[in-house]
Amino acid sequence: MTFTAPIWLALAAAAALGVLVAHLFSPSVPRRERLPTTRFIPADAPLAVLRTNRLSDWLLLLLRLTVCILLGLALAGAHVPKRAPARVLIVDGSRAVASVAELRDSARARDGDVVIVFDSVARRATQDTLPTLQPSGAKGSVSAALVAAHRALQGFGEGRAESELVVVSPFTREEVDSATALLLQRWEGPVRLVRVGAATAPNRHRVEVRAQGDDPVAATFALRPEAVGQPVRVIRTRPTAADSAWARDAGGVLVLWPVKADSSLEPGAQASAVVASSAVVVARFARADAVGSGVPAARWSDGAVAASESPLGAGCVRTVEVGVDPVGDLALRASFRAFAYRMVEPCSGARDFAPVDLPRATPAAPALQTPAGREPVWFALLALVALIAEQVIRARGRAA
Amino acid sequence: MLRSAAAGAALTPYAELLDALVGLTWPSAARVRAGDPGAHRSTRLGRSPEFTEYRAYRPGDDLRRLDWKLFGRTDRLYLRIADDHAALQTTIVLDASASMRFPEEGPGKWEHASAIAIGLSAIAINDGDAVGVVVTDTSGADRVIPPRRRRDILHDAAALLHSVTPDGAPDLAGTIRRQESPPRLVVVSDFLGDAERALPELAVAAAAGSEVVVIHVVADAELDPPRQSFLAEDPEVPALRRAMSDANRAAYDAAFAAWRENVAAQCHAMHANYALTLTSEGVRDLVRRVVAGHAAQFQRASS
Repeated sequence: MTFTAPIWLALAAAAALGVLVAHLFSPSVPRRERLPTTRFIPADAPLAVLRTNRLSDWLLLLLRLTVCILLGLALAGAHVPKRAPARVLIVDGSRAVASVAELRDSARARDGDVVIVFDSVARRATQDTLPTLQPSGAKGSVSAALVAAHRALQGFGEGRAESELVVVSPFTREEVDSATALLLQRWEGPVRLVRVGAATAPNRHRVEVRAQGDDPVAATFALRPEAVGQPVRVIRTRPTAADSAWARDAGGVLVLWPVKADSSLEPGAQASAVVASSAVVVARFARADAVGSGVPAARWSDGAVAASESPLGAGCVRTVEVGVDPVGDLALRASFRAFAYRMVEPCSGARDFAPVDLPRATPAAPALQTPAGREPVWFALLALVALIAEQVIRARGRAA
Repeated sequence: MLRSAAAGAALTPYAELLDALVGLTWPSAARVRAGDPGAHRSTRLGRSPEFTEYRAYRPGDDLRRLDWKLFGRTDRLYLRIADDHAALQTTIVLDASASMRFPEEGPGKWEHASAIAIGLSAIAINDGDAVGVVVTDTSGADRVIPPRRRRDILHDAAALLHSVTPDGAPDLAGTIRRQESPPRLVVVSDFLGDAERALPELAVAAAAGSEVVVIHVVADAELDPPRQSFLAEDPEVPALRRAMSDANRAAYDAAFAAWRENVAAQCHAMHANYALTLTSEGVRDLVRRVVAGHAAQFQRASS
């Protein structure tokens, strides 16, 4: 048990001592009653008596001492730290996992383990769900899982240094970021990384473009076409319901890239650069006023969203509000080509299942400070219960 | 009309008691002095149809009382003697000291004593006796309803008793003395004030020929005080305070019982009709006990 204000313990002890002394040595004058036959009471009876040795008197003393001690503990901020679990198991449920069987076999939870399953988000699970775990099509984030693991140990004051962290994942490049190694280093206890097979994502799909006339975007994809990792359909004209159904049911990427056909491009609508991940294009573009909601896939140089992605069934819809000048050599530039292929990446971005080596966690960095559980309110509530009991017993003693 | 309506209201609390006492009589313990016609055998032999005995004729006797049939059979002159009946004036004295106002919550000794007085008054009135009621007062001037035989005495007595709040330490002995030995003297009291002076006055009244009835009222809470420790205060002597606890309860019980025995013994010694009543006892039962005790005494006296 630890205390935040131990001085209150000393004060409570002093109060308890005072209660004990008062209980044992203070005389009590009984209540007065009219009785016409008073003259028959022996004249030598004392008018004040010391406290008698009734069981209820000792019970009252015990309750009063209990109230003092409990109030002292409550005011001193006493808390009993809970013991951390023996193991925290993180299981990768993202698209990077190649074999479900290998994943389930590697992720064996024991009683008392904290289980966390992650893809793009991390969530607590039970050991019963692991045998039926199915990887999702979402991109994984080991950092998100590690943050959840650290939070799972919040409120535990003891045993954190003995709590083992086990991470079962392919540890692909797309799942690991700059915070992953730091979060591993912050873990106080031992860390074990269990690598399972990573998925492969052969780029075997061609980009399908539906456009009219001499379309610069269609020309970009037609010149030196590259295979992509997911069926893609770029719609430069009006999309149809069949397109949405295709994306939803076939799990394709539907790219809505309307033509901003205006060869002159009003000055107010022009932008100078657009950025999509590492692809940057500096040119004259037509710019829409607003882009639909979704995860930003590209931004203008001023930070406004130029393209966004929204999930749709098994696939997704990516809206690109970047008007391309039909006149000029933009379609031939390598920067625009890189940007265009960013727009036709698989849902949630390009798949990069290349394995990454993570440094073994050595707790060189200071452990993350999490506030230990405080339970002084329980001591205060128990003190209140004891006080009520003391009142009831004292009232019964008067009425008896 | 107004007076009867108000008086009727004063008797309302005793309606059930009065109904239960209908038909009871309260015979005197001995022959009463000759006086107004009544229900009690008087010391004077009279001309009532109830034949008692024969007596030999003496010169000067009333010739109309000669039994000629007996003369025809015996050739001797005898007079027919019959009992005379007279009324017995009854005075009921109630103690209104502070000790009678106990317990303070609920019906206490004063309410019990008031009901006893009304009950006995009703029986006496029905017997044709005159009844008077006297209530002690701390001022020394007792509150008195003079004896009368009219039934409205009950209403007045009820109204008087309802208006009294027992208080102080009035002189019960002086009140008894001032009654000047009425034919029948009933004292209803707890005798916690001045038993040492009141009982001798009763003995004087008994010696003077009064038929003395003592009704000793005791509260249940006096017989069995509260079990937890407390500081007892005498309502008539505020300076008297003593602690009651489990340690001295036995001594209290013994002292109180001994005192009650002493009061009863003094009453028996003066040939008074003594009845101890607890506040938990029904007034109807107590009144029946009192008048039945007199009936037993009368039968013994007349046999």
